[in-house]
Amino acid sequence: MPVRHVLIADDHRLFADGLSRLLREGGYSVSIVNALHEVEAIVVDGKPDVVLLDLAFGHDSALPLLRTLRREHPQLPIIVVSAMEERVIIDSVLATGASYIAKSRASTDLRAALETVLAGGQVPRPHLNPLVGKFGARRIGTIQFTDQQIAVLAQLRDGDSNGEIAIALGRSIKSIEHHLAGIRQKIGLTTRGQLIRWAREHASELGDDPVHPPG
Amino acid sequence: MAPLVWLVVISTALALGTAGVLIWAAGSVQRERIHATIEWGRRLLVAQEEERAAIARELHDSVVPDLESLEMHVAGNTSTTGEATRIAQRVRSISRLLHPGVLDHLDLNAAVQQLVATDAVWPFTVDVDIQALPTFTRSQRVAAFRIIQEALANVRRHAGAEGVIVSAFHEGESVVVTIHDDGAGFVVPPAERLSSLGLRSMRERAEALGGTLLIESARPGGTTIRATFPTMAN
Repeated sequence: MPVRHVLIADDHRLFADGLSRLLREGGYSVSIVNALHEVEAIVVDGKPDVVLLDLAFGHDSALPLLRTLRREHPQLPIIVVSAMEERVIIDSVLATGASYIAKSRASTDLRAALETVLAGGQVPRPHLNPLVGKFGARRIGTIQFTDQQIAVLAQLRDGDSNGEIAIALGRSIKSIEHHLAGIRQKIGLTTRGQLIRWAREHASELGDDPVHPPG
Repeated sequence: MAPLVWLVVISTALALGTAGVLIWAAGSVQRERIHATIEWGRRLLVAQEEERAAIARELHDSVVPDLESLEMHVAGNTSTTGEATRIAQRVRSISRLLHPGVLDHLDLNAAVQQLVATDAVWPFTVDVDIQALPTFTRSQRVAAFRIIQEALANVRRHAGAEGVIVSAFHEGESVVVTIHDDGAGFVVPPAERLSSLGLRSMRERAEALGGTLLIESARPGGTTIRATFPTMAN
């Protein structure tokens, strides 16, 4: 099997060296780049088989570069090796199609991950704590609403008053007014009549069959 | 006689005028001092946030990887395996307290989602409705995040709320950030008599960046905190 070439992009030299030693021992050929703005050129010139990319380069985030690399070199496997272990960060990385390994797991998990991506496989999604909050968002047309706003719109479509909506959703009237303000701001409509008409025009997209059919 | 009368009138007027100018000047010196003090406080706040961010980045991007490298170098030595990683975890959580690192990579929405969904368990539901805010600067994002964080902590401590709505959107030339809860509400003291450090610091953070902060509360009805930031044209 030909020697595989790994490019390590990390501004932390000690970490990059440690990683490099680990990989050389495993029979890989390794090069290191410490500056974010040099990564893309080295990818083009050096044609690595795989890139290990850190996310934080001083003040700068490597996420925009990651998106560019994924777009320009879709065949090149990239594993993000990062000390950022926040769920939203991991989700953004995975959304680009790259793999993710926490720096804290690099010494134990990286070799296996490398073999997986070099064989054309996908690194398993890291174990993440389940989301506690509930804030799915849904698009109607071009406008994105929160779950609560959708629920309010569905009640509005059925002709409910704010008091009725509040009871139905187990929220205060004030909170319903707040949701309505948010909805108005997004749709760009001001009167309640306009909002109700809008909700009825988008009745099917609001889920659940209306209690009182429109019309 | 007449010229003498005029002289008296004119000199009296001059004296009064001078006194007026002096009093006015004294007042304005006082005002300037107050303004300077307020301005100084605001700059301190911004500087403090920047300094914390720098320390947090240093911990997160240097000390943590140092420890991870150490882990790699001692790999295989069973008596120390995992020790460096455990220290790294502790350092990472200190860094997170100092500065919301997510904001270095993603937008306000992502940072608030992280705060609400995974960093803590909140005894109320939170509806997060934060639009893309392309004109928001990094310091505005941090200030808005801190205000939201503080407001949620207040709701948890005092309000007994069931639902909270966090929203941020463009309104004309401004970005408006609101945190509304349906909790117990409280009597809002006048701005200059705000005794709660949390409420004060929220106001200071908004004002330090040229914004304003409004607190509205009713019993029943809950509390709405509304921070308005000017959008910078730079």
